[in-house]
Amino acid sequence: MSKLDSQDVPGRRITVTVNGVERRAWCADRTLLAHFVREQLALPGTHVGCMNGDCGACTVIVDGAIVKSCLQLAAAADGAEITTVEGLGEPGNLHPVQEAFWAEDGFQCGFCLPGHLLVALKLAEQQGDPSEEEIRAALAGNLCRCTGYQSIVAAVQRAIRQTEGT
Amino acid sequence: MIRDRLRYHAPADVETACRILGDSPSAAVIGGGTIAVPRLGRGELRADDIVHLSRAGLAEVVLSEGELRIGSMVTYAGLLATPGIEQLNPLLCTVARGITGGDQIRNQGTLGGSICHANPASDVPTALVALRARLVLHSIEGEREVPAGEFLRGGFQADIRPGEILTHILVRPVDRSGYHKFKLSESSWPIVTAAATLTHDRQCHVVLGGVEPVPVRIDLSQIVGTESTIRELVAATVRPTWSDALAPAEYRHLISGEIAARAVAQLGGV
Amino acid sequence: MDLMRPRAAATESDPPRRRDGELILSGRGDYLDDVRIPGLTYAAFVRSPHPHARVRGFRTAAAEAHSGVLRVLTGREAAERIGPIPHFFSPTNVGGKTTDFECLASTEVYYVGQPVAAVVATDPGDAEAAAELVEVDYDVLPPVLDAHQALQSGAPQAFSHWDDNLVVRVAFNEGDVAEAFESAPHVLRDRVKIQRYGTSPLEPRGYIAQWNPDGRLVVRASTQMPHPLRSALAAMFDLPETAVRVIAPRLGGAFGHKFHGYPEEGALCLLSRLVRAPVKWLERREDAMLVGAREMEHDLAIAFDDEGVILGLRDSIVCDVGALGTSAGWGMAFVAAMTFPGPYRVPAYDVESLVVVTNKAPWNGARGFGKESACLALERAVDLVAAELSLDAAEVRRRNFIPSTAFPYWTASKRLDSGDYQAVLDKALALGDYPELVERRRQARAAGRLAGVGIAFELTPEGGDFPGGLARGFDTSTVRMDPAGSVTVLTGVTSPGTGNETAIGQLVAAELGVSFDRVRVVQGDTDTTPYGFGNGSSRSLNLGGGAAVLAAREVRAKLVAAAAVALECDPGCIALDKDTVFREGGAQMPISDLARFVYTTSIAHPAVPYQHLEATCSYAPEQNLLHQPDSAGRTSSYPTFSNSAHVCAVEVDEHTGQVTLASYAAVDDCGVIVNPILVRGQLLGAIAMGIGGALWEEARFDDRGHPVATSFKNYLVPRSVDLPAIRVGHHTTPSPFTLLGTKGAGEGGVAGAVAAVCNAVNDAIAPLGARVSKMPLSAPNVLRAIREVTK
Repeated sequence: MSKLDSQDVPGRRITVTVNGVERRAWCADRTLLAHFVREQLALPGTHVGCMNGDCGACTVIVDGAIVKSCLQLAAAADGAEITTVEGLGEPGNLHPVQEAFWAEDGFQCGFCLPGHLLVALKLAEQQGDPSEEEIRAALAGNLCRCTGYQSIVAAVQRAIRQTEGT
Repeated sequence: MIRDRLRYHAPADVETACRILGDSPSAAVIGGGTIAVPRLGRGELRADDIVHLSRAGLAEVVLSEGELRIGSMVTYAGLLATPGIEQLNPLLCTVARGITGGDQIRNQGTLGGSICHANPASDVPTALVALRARLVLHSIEGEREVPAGEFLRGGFQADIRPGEILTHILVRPVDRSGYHKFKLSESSWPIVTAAATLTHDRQCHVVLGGVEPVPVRIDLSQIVGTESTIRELVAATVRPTWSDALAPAEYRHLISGEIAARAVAQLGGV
Repeated sequence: MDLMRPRAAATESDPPRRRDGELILSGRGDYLDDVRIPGLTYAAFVRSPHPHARVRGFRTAAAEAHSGVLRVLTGREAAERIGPIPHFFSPTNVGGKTTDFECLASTEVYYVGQPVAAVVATDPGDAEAAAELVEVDYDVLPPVLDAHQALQSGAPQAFSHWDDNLVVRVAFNEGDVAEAFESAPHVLRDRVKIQRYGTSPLEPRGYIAQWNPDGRLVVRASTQMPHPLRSALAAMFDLPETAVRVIAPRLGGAFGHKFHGYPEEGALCLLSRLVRAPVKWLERREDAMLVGAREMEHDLAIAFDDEGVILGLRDSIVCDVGALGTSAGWGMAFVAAMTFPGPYRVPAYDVESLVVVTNKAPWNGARGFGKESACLALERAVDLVAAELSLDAAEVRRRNFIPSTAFPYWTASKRLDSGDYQAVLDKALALGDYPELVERRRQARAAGRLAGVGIAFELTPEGGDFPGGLARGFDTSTVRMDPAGSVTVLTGVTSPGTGNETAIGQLVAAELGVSFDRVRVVQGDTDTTPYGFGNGSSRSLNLGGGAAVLAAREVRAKLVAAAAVALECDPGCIALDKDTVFREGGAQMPISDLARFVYTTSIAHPAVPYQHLEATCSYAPEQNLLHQPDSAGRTSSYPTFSNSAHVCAVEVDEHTGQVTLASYAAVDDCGVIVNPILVRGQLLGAIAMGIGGALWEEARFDDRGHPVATSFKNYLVPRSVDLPAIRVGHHTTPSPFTLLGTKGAGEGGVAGAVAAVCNAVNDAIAPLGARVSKMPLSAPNVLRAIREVTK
């Protein structure tokens, strides 16, 4: 993480396309993708909650698939296309999925939110009509300690409705 | 945070991977990373070199002469995306769909990584033993094939020799299969797993995981299948010799007959 | 009375959405780990591998030689440089005993995971690697790991310099209990054990400590209580409080886990001073799971008549608080006993709580704060009465509730403010389709399945005031309007992510007649906000919001006086609304013009007051905080009492013991609701947390005193598929003793969920003759209970 480190820790420069922008940055070989995204790419919206692949707060999309970025070494992502929560929308121009979570109060502290948003995005993109049970199953890789999930489920339902036909 | 100042390698083929393994004083192979990477973070797994098999051409499922050849880097999602796989091997599909941790883990975790980790509570060891899968292990000295049942030596102990890499899992179809796993909650590792198979020659078996350090195979072919006899046979056969943080051995033993019966029931009219 | 109501209650139909939503939703939340500071260094802690040992010495050369390492600090050295950690609330305040607790243990360790040394390095991985290389010599001492064992004579001492393992015994009683039990037609007993478990916010704790060139200590901390943490750090370093600044950034959940009093807090500040650089440390998930709570066993007896009317109650609660420590956790033992006899009119009761130390990591506060333990025991007891007399469980509750006409109602240690418990229960029964659940249970049983219905009623004392420590029942807010008419609220309460900043903004906006977006709420910085007691005990809106309303009213009075000059009318003809100043039946001006008018014309215009458009007020519901004993010797340290009723249905798998929650409904009464979106979210979250504790969450230790729950793979918190859709509703009985009529929302729901699920499971297995009161109701525990009677 620190600059001193780069002198004697094995590392490399890697190129990734993040949220549509090609970025080249150095990473130590031992750096996790989650920390690479947060520190080297300065995108702190991806959160680290357990470092064990359980909570899902570090979820990002790599080459079209949602993954837990605390389980992956950054070096392995060389050449990958990555979407983080910052790639959805920004203040004043939120993505419909983000709007849906706000409208349904689908978060409280917000720490789990990046993961839930990206899972919801994938679901909404599939353009299906999932049942509540299917939505709950899709969220099974992500923990939330604040909401009891109910408002998250409602937010995903709204997100799917709002992205229909887009 | 990973504390070892390790070097990362993503060799383009298995031969190179084996050479790096041989040259390094302490190397670790990682597949999907879902198990190994957190273990590196906690210092449970130590390594100077990481050999990541992501670019070694092991992420394909091939069907040849009726046998599925599953690369060790095939993820659960990758398996499920294989055309025709539901017909070819519904048991593995059930396992893959039910993996704990959401789509993320299905996108990242591999069958190969799971069998190498040899966690008695995991789904994959039970399923591969039930399917009489064979595992292909590669080293600079050559290749060997090991039946899954022999590959698993004990809890978290697999028969991988220094310098070896699991490259493929070979699976032949069975006539019918059933799979049931019991978890305490969605977050939980499986407590007891059961995979039932009926082969073309009418051999009926159930394999139980999570009760003993390695999956236990029980031959049901000779009993006229009523549920209670399955329960009794299982209870009399398996020994309560495995426990983890989630459940004591006695509990696993207590429910093993019931879980076996649920898997067998999926075979339909045995 | 209506004048006292918050103006914001009028906006209930269209409450604003969660504040800062756009930032949080777009990954710009600025949590502790997101703070960027140049020259940051990283700490790792060396932790005891023994539950109890004497520390003989340290060897640090190997760690110091590791690349990237800047400093190794041992407990020995730390003890020479800083004082012990002040208590959040010392047991000595209630007649108990304590001991000194160090940031890094220098002579004796009391639990596995206790910090004994620390390393700072330029990289967090190197810090972890070097921490492994610190060698500590221990003389292992016998540990005591169970509270019952700890109470026996001859048991090992958790702290070797104590004579026994009892911190304090607290007791609450009323009436002639012996006589009540002697004359009662029925007496039943039960043992109810609630397990050790915490709260696991998704964001673990974290701190960044640095010393500025001017000698000031600046600490960024994911803490619920920045000011009391500042006081503690100033004491440890013997600094004036003016030399310490604590900044709490946005928190990713807290639930009590982020109350202060942790050893890492002081240690990191010392490390930063030694390396002359900012030092950061993030709690690992396994560290977070060390923090305990709630492990209590009730030995309970209930006396009642043929109609199910409770005549007497006895409970002896043994609380295994681990190695005590300096956090708030042990206080749960006090609150658990104090909460009795809950919502019921019990003429005679005697409840004691024994606070016992063991060699396990200390507790910290946990949402529920002992009230869940009391509720579980009480609600089990009421269900036992119903079962014994073959009465409907709801009916037995109705027969024992304190009637709505009896408030304020005194018990030994609390004066209940208001409530209509029967109405709340009836609403919950209707919302949960109670008759339908009972019918479905009948059908399921007829089909040979184990189905159960559970009811629970929860009384939730909120907003506690504990003189003698910095955990008080008042708080302070400043409201200021700038020359452009924008409003800043600075408040001593903090938000752990629950949303009180939204509701406080709403209240102030309504008082001043300005739009919600014009009001900014600032929390968590000791340099800018008034001294306050942060977040806990569902206090933030009631106290911080109450103080903000009082301050806003003062500012409003100044605005109205100035507006009367500007618009040339009597102050009584001025109205403030929609960012506009109205003169009755005539002229109007934007509020921004009025603010500018005040700032630019005062003094020059003698009638315009020149005081700033700013006010600071403190607020406490003093009328119901009673610390001087009344003629009957009673005191009350909680001002308000939220309550809720819970109805749920379960099925139990007879073969595995697995519990499936089929339906859940709850109705709460938290007094006046300022923002129904936020209150609903709090209730849903609390219920989910209660269900998790009832069924799965458990921080177990092995028989050598090592924690076995170290990750979310073996500490099982609920996931989306584990929970049913939960129906919630509200009933409103304003508190007559609070400024806003509010009571407190946030904690309420945990306790009722624990008890309702437990009652439902017991109802399900009752046909087998089985009973389970050892929590959690995990499949192994339930199957054990079933097999005890069916084997």
